Parts: sequence; C-alpha cells; structure tokens
Amino acid sequence: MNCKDFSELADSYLSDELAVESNHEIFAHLESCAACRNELSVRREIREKARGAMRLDGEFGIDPVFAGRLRARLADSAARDAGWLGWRSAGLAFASMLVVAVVGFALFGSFGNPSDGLRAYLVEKSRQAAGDHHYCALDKIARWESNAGKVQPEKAAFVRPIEQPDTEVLEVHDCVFEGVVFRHYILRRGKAIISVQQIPDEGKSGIGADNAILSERESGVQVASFRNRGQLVFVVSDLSESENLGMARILSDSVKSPV
Amino acid sequence: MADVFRFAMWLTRDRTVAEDLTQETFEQALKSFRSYELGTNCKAWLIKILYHQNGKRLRKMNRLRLVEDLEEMIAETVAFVPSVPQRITETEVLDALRIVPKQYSQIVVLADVEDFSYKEIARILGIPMGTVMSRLHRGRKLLRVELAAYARGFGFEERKKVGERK
Repeated sequence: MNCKDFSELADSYLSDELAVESNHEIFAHLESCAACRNELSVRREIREKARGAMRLDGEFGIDPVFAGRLRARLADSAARDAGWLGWRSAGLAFASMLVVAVVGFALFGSFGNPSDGLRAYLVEKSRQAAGDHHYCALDKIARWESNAGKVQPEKAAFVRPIEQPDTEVLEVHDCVFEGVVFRHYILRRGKAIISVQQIPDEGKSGIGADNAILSERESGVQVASFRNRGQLVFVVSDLSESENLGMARILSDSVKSPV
Repeated sequence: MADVFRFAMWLTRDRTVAEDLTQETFEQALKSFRSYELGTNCKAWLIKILYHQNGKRLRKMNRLRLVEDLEEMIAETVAFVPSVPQRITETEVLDALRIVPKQYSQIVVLADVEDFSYKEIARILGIPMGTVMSRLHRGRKLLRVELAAYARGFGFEERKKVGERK
C-alpha cells in the first residue's frame, strides 16, 4: 500500500467499512509512514469535532417540553391502536403489541428500559468500551490471533456461553482506556472481532433493572450493554445490531444463573 | 428521539419546522410499523421516514431541485485535499459544514455524526451505495476546503460558496 492508496481508504478505515485484510494493510502502512499517521489524525479530529459540535450544540438539542408532549401523544396513539385492534383477532392483537414495542424502541432506543441513571452511565461507558475495542482489540488483532486456543478455560468462563462452533476466544486480559480498567475478552466469529468488556458498577449507575439491554451504534460499531450482579457488561462488534444483541442476551441470561 | 430531531434540525435549520417534522416522522412510523424489519437499525428506519417526510415538505414548497449539474461542477472544483489549521474548534467545523452543499453535508452528518454505515445511508436516502461513497468523499473534501479557508485567514462571508454559480 502506498500513500495514495491510504488516502483513498482512510475514511472507510475510520468508518470501519473495510475488510479485515485491508485493515491489516492500513496498519502496516501506518507503522512506516508518519505523514499518513498525521493525515489520519487530522481526519479523525475533523470527524470528532463535527460530531461533538452537533451533539453538544444547544441549537440541535431537542426541547424537553416538546419531547415530553410528543412521547405522551405517541403513547396515547399506540394505546388507542392497541385497544382498537385487540378485539378483532389474536393476530391483530399481536400486531398491536408490536406497535407498542416498536414505538417503545423508537422512543427509548433500547430493549427493556434501563432507568435514566443507568442509561446515561451505560451510554458514557459504551463510548469508552467502543474506544477500547478500536484501540485494543482491532489494533492488536494480529497479536491476539496468535494466542487463539491458548486462553485458559477458567479465564474465559464468562464468555463461554456465547462460544458457538464458529466463535472462539482469542484473548482475555485487563486493559485501561481513558482511565477505565476493562476486563477484556476478545472473540472472533468468522471475520468479525467481538469485544466483551466488564467493569464493576461501583454503584455509580443508580438504581435500575438488571438485564435490560441498551443497544446503540457508537464510533462505527454496535455496542450492547447491560448490568448484572454488580458488573456492567459491553458487547462490542461490527456485527449487525440483531446479532450483537443476540450475544448480549445469551450473556445476560447466563449470568442470571451462575455460569 | 433526540437523534431524529437533530437530523431534522440539520435538514431544516428551523426549530419549529424540525419539531413538526419530528412529530410527523414518529406518527408516520406508528402507522407504517409493518415496514420495520425487527432486528434492523430502528434509528435508520426512522431517519429514512424523516427524510421522506422532508422530501414531501420540500416538494409542496417547490424547493426540491435536481443537483446533477452541481455535482459535476463540484467534482471539478475539489481536485485536491487542502491542509487544515493545526487547531480547529467545533464551531469552526460546524460553520464549515453549513457551507458545504446540502446533498454532501447531509451524508457527512449521517456518517460521521449519526454513525450510520454506507449501506444504511444508501437505504435512508434511496440512492446506490456507490453514490453514497462518492458524495461522502466529495463532502469531506469540501469540508476541508472550507476549513482551509480559516488557515488562509479569509472570512466565510467573503468567500464564494463552492458550487455557487457566477
């Protein structure tokens, strides 16, 4: 790969749109080219500034009064539809439940409904978990791949429930990202690299239902997070939202009953 | 809901219109929930409805116009990647993004602010993935052209917008 190739691929690399092989070529080029490392950091900075500007600027923020009014209106509307459909047939009643579920997801963006305190805390930590996934798992994948099969079973016990015939544990370690110490499990499913990260809750997330799973897209990857038994757990990957959530569900179910 | 509103606000630049659009989007979503495929990205589905509703609004106002000729002009204009100032602020990036023509800036916002994949953006806007990639590429270059203007010490007001006809 030369600098021109890198320049063409750099944005797709930052968006996690490249195949694993191309990512490897990018890493190799970056190791030997200071100019392209600088170019990548400029592009990353522009993105982060654009993201920060729009997400934090009051101009783009929703008015809480308007949001509350719209939520109430939609909840009324969904309840009316459910009532109307309910008496017609079981099939339609199911459809009405689906309406409520979809609207609920649209409003709260999650499956289940973590409390506001837990939600805010999970969102903040999800961002860090996604960052750790990028900077630890993806950047060092060649090293972890050479460890595949050498992970001691007791160390990998927590993620065993999501091991399928096509999934293997590559590495388990503790790492630090932005001052947060993650217990970091790295798995591979086909070409996808999956990070499962655990941190102690330490009571900072407030009171909320365990096992409600928050699903969101963060820094180009899917993050599904939940709290269970005093631990916050993040499942991070570039799998589809449903596949990523599926793994989080298996984990949250398995930790309900001790592994 | 905040994400949907943010994109509505970006499209309309008017809080009242953005609130109307957000409300119409959720009401339409409720009516057409059958078109939502469980397991797919719910936010992308809502943004697609929002984009469609906004198109209807613009058509009513006769403000929707074809942009192919503009795209060709811009392709010629943006032939290089300029350097940008060492220190840029969020406000500068936002101001520069506002100057980039909307058909490019909206894709940059969908990709970089809202974190949608190329495939999701293609579905939202109803355009081929190749078009998403080329517009995103040009949009980012245009953004850098505008940011480079800060480095050269020109005010945005004095500069001609990229793609603006003489």
